[in-house]
Amino acid sequence: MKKHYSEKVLSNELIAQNTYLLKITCEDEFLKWFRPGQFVHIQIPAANELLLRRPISINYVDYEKRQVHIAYYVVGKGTRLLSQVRPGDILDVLMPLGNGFSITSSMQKIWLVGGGIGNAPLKSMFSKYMDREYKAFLGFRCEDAVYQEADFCEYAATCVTTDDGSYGGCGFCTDVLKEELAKDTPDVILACGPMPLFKTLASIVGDIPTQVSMEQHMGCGTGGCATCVCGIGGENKRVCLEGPVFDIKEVDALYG
Amino acid sequence: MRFMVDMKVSIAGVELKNPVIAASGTLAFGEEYSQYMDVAALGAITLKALTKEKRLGNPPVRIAETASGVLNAVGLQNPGVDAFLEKQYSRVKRIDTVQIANIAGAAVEDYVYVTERLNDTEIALFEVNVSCPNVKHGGVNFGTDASILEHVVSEVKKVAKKPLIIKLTPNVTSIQEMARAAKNGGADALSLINTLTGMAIDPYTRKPIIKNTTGGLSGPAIKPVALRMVHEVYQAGLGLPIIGMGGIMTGEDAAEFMIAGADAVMVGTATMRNPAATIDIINELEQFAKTNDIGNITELTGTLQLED
Ligand SMILES: Cc1cc2nc3c(=O)[nH]c(=O)nc-3n(C[C@H](O)[C@H](O)[C@H](O)COP(=O)(O)OP(=O)(O)OC[C@H]3O[C@@H](n4cnc5c(N)ncnc54)[C@H](O)[C@@H]3O)c2cc1C
Ligand SMILES: Cc1cc2nc3c(=O)[nH]c(=O)nc-3n(C[C@H](O)[C@H](O)[C@H](O)COP(=O)(O)O)c2cc1C
Ligand code: FES
Repeated sequence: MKKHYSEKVLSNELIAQNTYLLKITCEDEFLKWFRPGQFVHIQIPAANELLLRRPISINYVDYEKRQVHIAYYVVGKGTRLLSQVRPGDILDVLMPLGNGFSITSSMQKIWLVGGGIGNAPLKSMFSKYMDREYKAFLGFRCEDAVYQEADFCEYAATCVTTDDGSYGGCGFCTDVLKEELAKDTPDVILACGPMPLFKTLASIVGDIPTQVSMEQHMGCGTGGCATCVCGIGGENKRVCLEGPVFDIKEVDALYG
Repeated sequence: MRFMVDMKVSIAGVELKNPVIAASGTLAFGEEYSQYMDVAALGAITLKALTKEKRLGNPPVRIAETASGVLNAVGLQNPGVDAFLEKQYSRVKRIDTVQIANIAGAAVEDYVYVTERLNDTEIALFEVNVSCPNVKHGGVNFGTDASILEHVVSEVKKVAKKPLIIKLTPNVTSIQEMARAAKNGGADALSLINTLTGMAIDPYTRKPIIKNTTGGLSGPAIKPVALRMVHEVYQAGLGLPIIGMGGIMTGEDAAEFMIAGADAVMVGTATMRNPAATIDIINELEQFAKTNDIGNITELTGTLQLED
């Protein structure tokens, strides 16, 4: 299975405050193996002193146009340089990496829960599983941070909240989720966001199967260096290889 | 311009296809990398450190990027030598190139135990990682005290059925003194350098970036230090084969280490940036030899020109 590619940048645009959407080309070999919830590991071009690649979730895969989309928030040197790449530039990428969400045919009713840039990987579900019954609970800091709401609305009953109430509901997306859980039960919950969001989720999902996409500082992204670990069921597992998606019940930091 | 270069080298009687070896700790046990390259094309692969007991390693964050370098504090996470032999070795064994074990421990008995357990495998060489805190001596690294170093090497040598490579730590005042101690203990070869202890701080949170506070620095940032140390050990004239490493990213970097006195090289951090870096380095080194009219790669070793 080939995973190391040179791909062309098609566009790289600002879609919300400090948030960019990058579209690159991809090959059939990639399309064959891609699973929603996987990530790409990008070498930052023209930055030899930045030795490490940057891991970014796959936001969407367009099978017809053969494109991979990633949405990222500019936080430091690497993502700032990435925001400067232009159409036509070539990027060195490893993809698709990680396990991705485990989706079975019995999972019809799927609820997506995300916070901030963590909403990005949830949209990748619509690249492959268009026929499911979705609800999306998307949290953002404020109105300026909101992105891709319309894309979610196309496939999911979508509820947007902002921490400051400047757009949509006021508060956390998990507040709304809690209310909905009192009325209905999904087959599975898929979530991505900061640790506090996972903590709240852990306390409200009960027995509902819940998969969370974890972040960790990474080296290789390919299972070689064991730097990217997360405590899973008492073991230090590699987020890049055994993750990034784990069963919420197994994440040691969320229980006990 | 040559058309053929003999890339074979020999380390303590073990022949390698070429002088480029995957360093310990950056290629796991090699199995994951077959989808990125032909692992069998490497001169050898070094397995990640094995200890007597299973080790969970350090809590994350375990890695930080620094100027042209990487700081890591994995903490020797591994399943323990017994579990490795039982569950993983049968797959690792199938990788068709020379395999080197990396042996670590917190006490001399631990090193001896791991060595004895690996003796009857097909692993060709044992690399003894002495950059580990010695629990009995207040956590002082085995590799930073000449008499402790000589002692651990001689105890491992008594039981080892394979040639011993002693991997020297650069966190010492005199690398020549440590190289001599390793030789006196019975080393068959030396590898250097392991990582330099360092740290990284986030000025906004005023916290160390790595949870363990300190970590080991690797990558191009340490290459000048590594070259100097290989040069010094070569100049000591101990007659032991030398494996050089520290920041090798290209074939030219590898050639520099050989010129300084190395018989072979190891590549670690470059693999984190590019999973197939070792293959590129082999090709570039071969190309370097061709354009410089070198018919046999061993001709490069120790050819540093000190006179004008
Ligand atoms: C599996 C996975 C998926 C991710 N998906 C996305 C995504 O879809 N969109 C997005 O904006 N971000 C995502 N991230 C986070 C993203 O990797 C970091 O924001 C990015 O690496 C920061 O790089 P920098 O150079 O700008 O920041 P700096 O802080 O300058 O980076 C310094 C070092 O720390 C690492 N680092 C810093 N923050 C993080 C973090 N949160 N997670 C992992 N490594 C970090 C960097 O990779 C780099 O090695 C993901 C992380 C992981 C592990
Ligand atoms: C993530 C990581 C893990 C490492 N693990 C080990 C190890 O288990 N045993 C060991 O002897 N050296 C270990 N090292 C050190 C390397 O083998 C090598 O000596 C060092 O990184 C310098 O080479 P480089 O600059 O090419 O990486 C590790 C290095 C890194 C970056
Ligand atoms: S980043 Fe190297 S093992 Fe995960």
